[in-house]
Amino acid sequence: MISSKAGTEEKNDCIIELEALEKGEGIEIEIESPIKKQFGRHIKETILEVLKERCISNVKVRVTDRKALDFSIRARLETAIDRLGGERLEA
Amino acid sequence: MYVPGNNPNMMADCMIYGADVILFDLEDSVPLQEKDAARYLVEYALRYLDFSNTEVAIRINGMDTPYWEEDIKKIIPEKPDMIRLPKAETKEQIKRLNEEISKIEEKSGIKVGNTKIMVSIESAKGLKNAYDIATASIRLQAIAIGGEDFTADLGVKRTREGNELLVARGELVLAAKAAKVDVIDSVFSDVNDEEGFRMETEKAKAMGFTGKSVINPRQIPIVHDVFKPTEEEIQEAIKITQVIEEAKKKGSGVISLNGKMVDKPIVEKAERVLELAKTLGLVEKVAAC
Amino acid sequence: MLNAIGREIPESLGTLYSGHMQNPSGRAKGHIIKLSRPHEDKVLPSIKEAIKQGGLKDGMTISFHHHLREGDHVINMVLAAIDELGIKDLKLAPSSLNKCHDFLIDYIKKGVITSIETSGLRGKLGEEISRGLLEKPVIIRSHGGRPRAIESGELHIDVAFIGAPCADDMGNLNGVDGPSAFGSIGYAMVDARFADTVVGITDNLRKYPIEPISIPSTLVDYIVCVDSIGDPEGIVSGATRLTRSPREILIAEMASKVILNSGLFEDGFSMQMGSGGAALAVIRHLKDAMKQKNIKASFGVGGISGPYAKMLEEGLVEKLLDVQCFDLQAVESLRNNKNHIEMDASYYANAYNKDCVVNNLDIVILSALEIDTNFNVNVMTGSDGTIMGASGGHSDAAYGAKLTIVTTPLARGRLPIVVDKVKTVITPGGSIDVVVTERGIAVNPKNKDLEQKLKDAKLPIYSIEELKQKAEKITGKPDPVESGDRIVGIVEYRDGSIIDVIRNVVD
Repeated sequence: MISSKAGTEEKNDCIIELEALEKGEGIEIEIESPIKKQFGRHIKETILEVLKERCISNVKVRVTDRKALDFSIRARLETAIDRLGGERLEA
Repeated sequence: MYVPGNNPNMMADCMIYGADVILFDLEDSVPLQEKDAARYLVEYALRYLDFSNTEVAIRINGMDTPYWEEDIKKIIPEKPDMIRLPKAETKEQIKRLNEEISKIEEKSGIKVGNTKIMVSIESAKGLKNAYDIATASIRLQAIAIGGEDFTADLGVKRTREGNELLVARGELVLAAKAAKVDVIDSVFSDVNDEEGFRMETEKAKAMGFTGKSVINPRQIPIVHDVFKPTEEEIQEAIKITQVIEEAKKKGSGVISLNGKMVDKPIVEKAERVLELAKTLGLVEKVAAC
Repeated sequence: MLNAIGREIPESLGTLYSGHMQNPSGRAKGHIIKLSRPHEDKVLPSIKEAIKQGGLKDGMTISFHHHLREGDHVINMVLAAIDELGIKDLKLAPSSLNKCHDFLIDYIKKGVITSIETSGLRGKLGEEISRGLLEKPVIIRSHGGRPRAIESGELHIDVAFIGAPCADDMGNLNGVDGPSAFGSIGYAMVDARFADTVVGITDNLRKYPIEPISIPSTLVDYIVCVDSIGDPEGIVSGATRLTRSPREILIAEMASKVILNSGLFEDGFSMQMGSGGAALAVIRHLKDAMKQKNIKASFGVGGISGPYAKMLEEGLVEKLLDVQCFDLQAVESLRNNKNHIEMDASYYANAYNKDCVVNNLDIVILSALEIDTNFNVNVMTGSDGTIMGASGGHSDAAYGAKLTIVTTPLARGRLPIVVDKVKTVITPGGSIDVVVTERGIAVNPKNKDLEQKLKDAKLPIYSIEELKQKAEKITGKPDPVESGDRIVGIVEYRDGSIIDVIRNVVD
């Protein structure tokens, strides 16, 4: 199982864990956040956007959010993608 | 003000405290295994956060590491105001850095030369080459001293009084003045020792430093207070600019004020004083002279 | 039906907030008159005995004060005794509740408590009630609104249980002496005057008469001695430290500048401070300016903590009027300084008195969980509707003060504080004059003069709409959180009208 992780448990940060999936398995996103009701949808959209930009179609994403702003979520996701092997995951 | 490039919490808020320059750090405050993460955080911070009038600089990793090239590749396209190079030792380094930045600027459609550089001198060798370093590129705006690493290089302890760095500071100021660049003093790590910080800042100003690096918002008002021009200096500067204006209108060649000649260095000093006064909110916008 | 500030309230619940203070009518209601015999022993051997002799029955109302804060043992002891006696269906009417009162969830489930009227609700109890734990909606009143309701008879208290750090065997009580000392006993003083039966519970019984007498024995039926009425660590902090948070310090600086340029900062001004970090940090700046300009405050109001007590000591404030103490320094000051004066909650904030302290306030600094573009303030619920705060003296002080300043960060975590519509209104926007955040200041449009003064002083003034946009730019715009249809809380304004309702949280 190829997986990666980026981010910390600190305030205003998030941990993003990725697990590469088989071709065709698609994208699974799991979000744990104290502000899920207010920003859960937005976080999901941001993740989908970045995955699309990086041409990744088969991955499991787990977000453990501690009220991170957009820029942190994107940065952590991009870092996790790089650590997973980046372009190797292209669909 | 230094802000660690891998701390999203501090990065989000850093611009509200009145620092003249925010310095995101990719170097010493970021552990090796997080260099990649910090790069992304800084890249996106530049892209998504609003810094309004505050300048943003990035301290990249030293050119003796494998990280600096990736650092500038990622960061320059986001148009930071300045790159800070630590551990500068030779003018060749500066020339190389300049070239690499230019390549990236061109590739990204940014005006070549847009990104400024400042360097930190942290070794005796660097200090010996300070003037050459300071004149190695038109991008270079300022040289600074990295106190901790410098004392390590000298093999001595860093003290509150700072006598061990007296010569280094003095020489750095000389090099900066000769090269006509700004010169920035080192950080003071004991955030709770406000008196010690003020003393060190006053000493720096007296020696000719034009600014100081800080690591905590509490230190900002002290720096501004120490470096602010006095009321007399401001009034004098205003008078000088007025005299210049009048002389220009009349077309006269020699300008004097109170029986003294007003030549170029005096005019430049007056301009600097007013610029500083404006930044600190001590005067209304002054009519350009 | 919409009330005067546009909140949807079912008409059947009562009078809707009209935008003005309603005129009162009628008389204050009193307690049952009793005869006391000479040399009668009031000290009872147990709380159970006091409950029995006090005649507590199913369906009655019991009250407590919240001076013991997070260290309170009294409510627990009393409810345990009530439960043992099999009494049920009681209305609980404390002046407020804290996180240490989560155990009430069990008593509610058991049917011992079936309704609550309070200023504050927190912790798991607040969460469960937000989900619909209680059949009857909780009634939220301000510090001034509670005495109003008690005095008018709307909130009739059958038995008041008063935790007293110091008592004598005839029933005189005070809050300043003893191992569980908490200082001013201001909230309980109202209950003592109007409850039918008053039980003093103490861990420090002294010889008659004690001194000072904050609650006289003329009002107290029984005294019970226990090992401890509360945990001192949870009651008061040793000393209140001024905040080190750079953001709070920045907000405090800006708030101070607002005060200094408001035109109210003159010799003899009066002020109420909150207990929050930014509010207290304001003291540091004001002190310097006061010393420089030789200005003294005629009186300070609180919620008093050490830094404020120090100002009294230093002669920067002439008198302190105190309804509750937050730390040992304040308790010390109340005990020893004759210019530190205890006051009760009615004297402090009840609008239906011929005077109340908040009517004489020049400046008050308050906090907010949310504030909207009409300047309405929420200090009660999170943005998802979970009850997690208290009405407190917010709406009272805001109404009376000449200058009401709300200090708040622009966003907390990722949630914007400045929003389109707050989830729950505690204080209507008409009472709020200025909002100070770390990224800018907004002035209520009704204060054109003040806005100009602050602009002239080069303060960063924005419209409240602009502040909201700034907040959203940083955090992103949150999705609105839908609430259910069930009303779990009714928020009364200080005149008894309904200013808002709290609907249940849905997961």
